[in-house]
Amino acid sequence: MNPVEDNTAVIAEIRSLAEAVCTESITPEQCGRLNSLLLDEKAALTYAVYLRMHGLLCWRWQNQIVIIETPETPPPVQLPAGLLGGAWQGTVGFFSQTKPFSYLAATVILGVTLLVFWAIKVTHHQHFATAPSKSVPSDARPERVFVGRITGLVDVKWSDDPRFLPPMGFAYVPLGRKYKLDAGLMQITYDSGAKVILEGPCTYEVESTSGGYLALGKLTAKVEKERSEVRSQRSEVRSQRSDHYPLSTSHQPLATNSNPQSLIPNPLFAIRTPTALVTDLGTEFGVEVDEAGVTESHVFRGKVVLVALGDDGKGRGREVTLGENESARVEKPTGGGNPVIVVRPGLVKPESSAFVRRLVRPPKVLDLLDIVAGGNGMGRCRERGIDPSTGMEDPVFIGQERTAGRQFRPVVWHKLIDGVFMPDGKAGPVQLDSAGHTFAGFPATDGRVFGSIWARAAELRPDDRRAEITNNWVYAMGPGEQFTPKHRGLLGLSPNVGVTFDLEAMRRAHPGVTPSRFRAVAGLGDPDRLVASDDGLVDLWVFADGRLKFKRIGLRRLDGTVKVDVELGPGDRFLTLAVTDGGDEIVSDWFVLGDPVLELVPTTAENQEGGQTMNGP
Amino acid sequence: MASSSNPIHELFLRHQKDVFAYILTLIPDRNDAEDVFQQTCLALLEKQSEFDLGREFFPWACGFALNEVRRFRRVHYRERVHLDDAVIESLASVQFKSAKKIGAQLDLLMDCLAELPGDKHKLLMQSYSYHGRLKELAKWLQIEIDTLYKRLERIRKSLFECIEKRKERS
Repeated sequence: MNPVEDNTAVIAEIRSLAEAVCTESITPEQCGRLNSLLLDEKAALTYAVYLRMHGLLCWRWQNQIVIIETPETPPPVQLPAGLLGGAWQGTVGFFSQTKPFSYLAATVILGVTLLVFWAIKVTHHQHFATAPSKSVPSDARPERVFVGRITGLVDVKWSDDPRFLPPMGFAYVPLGRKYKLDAGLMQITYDSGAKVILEGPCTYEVESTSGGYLALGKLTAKVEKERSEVRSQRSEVRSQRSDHYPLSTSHQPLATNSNPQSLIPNPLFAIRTPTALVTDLGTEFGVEVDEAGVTESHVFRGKVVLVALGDDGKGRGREVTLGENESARVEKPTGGGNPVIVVRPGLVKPESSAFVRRLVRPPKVLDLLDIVAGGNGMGRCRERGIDPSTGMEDPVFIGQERTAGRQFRPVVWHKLIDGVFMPDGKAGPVQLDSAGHTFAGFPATDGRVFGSIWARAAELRPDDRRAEITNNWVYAMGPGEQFTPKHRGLLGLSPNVGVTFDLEAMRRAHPGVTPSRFRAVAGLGDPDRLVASDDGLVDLWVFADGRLKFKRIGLRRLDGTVKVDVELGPGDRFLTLAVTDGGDEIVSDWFVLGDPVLELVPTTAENQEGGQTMNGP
Repeated sequence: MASSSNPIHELFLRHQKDVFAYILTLIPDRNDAEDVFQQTCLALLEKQSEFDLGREFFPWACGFALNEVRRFRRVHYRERVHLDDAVIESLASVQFKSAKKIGAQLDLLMDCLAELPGDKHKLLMQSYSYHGRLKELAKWLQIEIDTLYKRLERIRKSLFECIEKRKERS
């Protein structure tokens, strides 16, 4: 190691280099210097503490749902944020947003699942592995090899072919098993982590440890580095494998192992059809085979190699590598001869080739409280909000007055919220959304706002100290049960404030459905619970793409509750809610929207059958 | 059957953030560290039956993490800027030897975090919430990326110094 003349200077340098690691801006030269310094034990200790501090901060905050949407961002996986309880809400939210932490969250979910089902699965596998077969003498019985498990079934109707025996629920998948669906969706997760979604009508045979034969119908395959929940309970035979990154590190040729009893793991996932072999190169792709055996393949992400096969099932030297959003069709010439590959960008048959990419039932409502609190609208995130003066996240309710001029502030940390603003008609039209829609009809206000745009739970604990502080008006107003018939909670919108939700982003996040109505119960909370005060007075405005859809001028506390029900069109991009002070300043204007939701309807009749379909990007 | 009352499950939940932080000391890239963390979790769960409840969980888990770090480095050696093998082993060793000391220091982090002025706390939260998208955050904040780096450096260093001071006082 380098001589260390000045220990203090070295420690300072270590901190600076550690900082470069934290910001991920470290250069190879700096890394070299770090390598030389870290051989000193004290330096190593300083570095370790610094980086562990950084790691704990990562852990603490990266579970927040935060994303800046970019065109490259893949569609998020949707999970109900309430699944795992409060401690995991953020993780699940993040899970739906960002690739690296999806691994993390998947692991946690996987961990819980594994722990719950551990004993059952091991016992189940051992049972199958050792039970004697009725039809084969025990000394000659080939060992049954399981390659994965059925991990999803949606509205499945099995084939009534008498030779086909349907599986029992979420059964394990043995090599050689054939599945015949007349309708519905079925997901197989291979031990390797690859997922295949079969869409009925479909006939599929699991003919290798990393692939299968699609005789008819449609499937989507998703092959990623992540290991699946079933991987860790793989059969004893497969547990002898030592490859830890089987999908990302293999460099073997594209040959496939179609011998069902072969125990040699196939390096690359492949789908064989009567006319083609589609081999994955780390991707998500769809394959469709019609009754004539014509194969179509579309790549959603990554790459595949598509090889045209002759009648004897062997390649004819015709192959093509398909990239993202490319399709190919393997046809047999009517006059006979070798198959032909036709390549084109986009889906081969856009009108019909909607591949099912996720086995998720679309939601029926999106909870705006969950969204304001950082969720994806499907969970129960609460007690968080937005700073109306900046658009930044408010992790605690800020019971203070804020002023910030009149400009529209984008909310960059949440893809479902377009932005916020503080309406004041004194200086002309007010911008409502990032598309530049404006509204010139707001009255002049005093330009101030009090508190956060806040998502509060319906229930208020009797010992909640926040309710005893008048500035925390959204708590101080008491339970407010008259506004929350569905017990969802309250959206605190003290004037002068506006918030715009991005309906188009919601459609992208929840494919197959579209917001059709905005519903809420509006009204003013009661300050008299703590201090005698005047009645409040506010105006409520609801817009879609800058068009005024609903307004209630001069709403007072004594008016009680007002039902808000606004119809939204399939082309509406933004929903804007705004509250102004009614011309009497903001004192006692404790305005809330109770149980605010967006009702969703399927975009196509097909989606009403269940399952979620998505066209290619 | 395992359930939420499974002691290993509880230990796992309690120490997972520490395991992740430990991995981050050995794998500089945060995304890579998360991948290794995932593999570590799987390995831990696969071997949970071997854990002796009389032992400390965190060092046991760090053993798995170190193995996964080594495995990751073997696979991705050519693609990454790496700490040397000897440095990795040295860092692992010093953390093993000083586990209690480091743990005690890091226990002070939350107190120090609470002492941060509101604007610094908020900036720190934003930077971590952006998950490395610091350039985008800088753009949004309308400051140069280097300015953001410097501000974050000052905040983290102040946290670090706070931890050290509190440790000395205690």
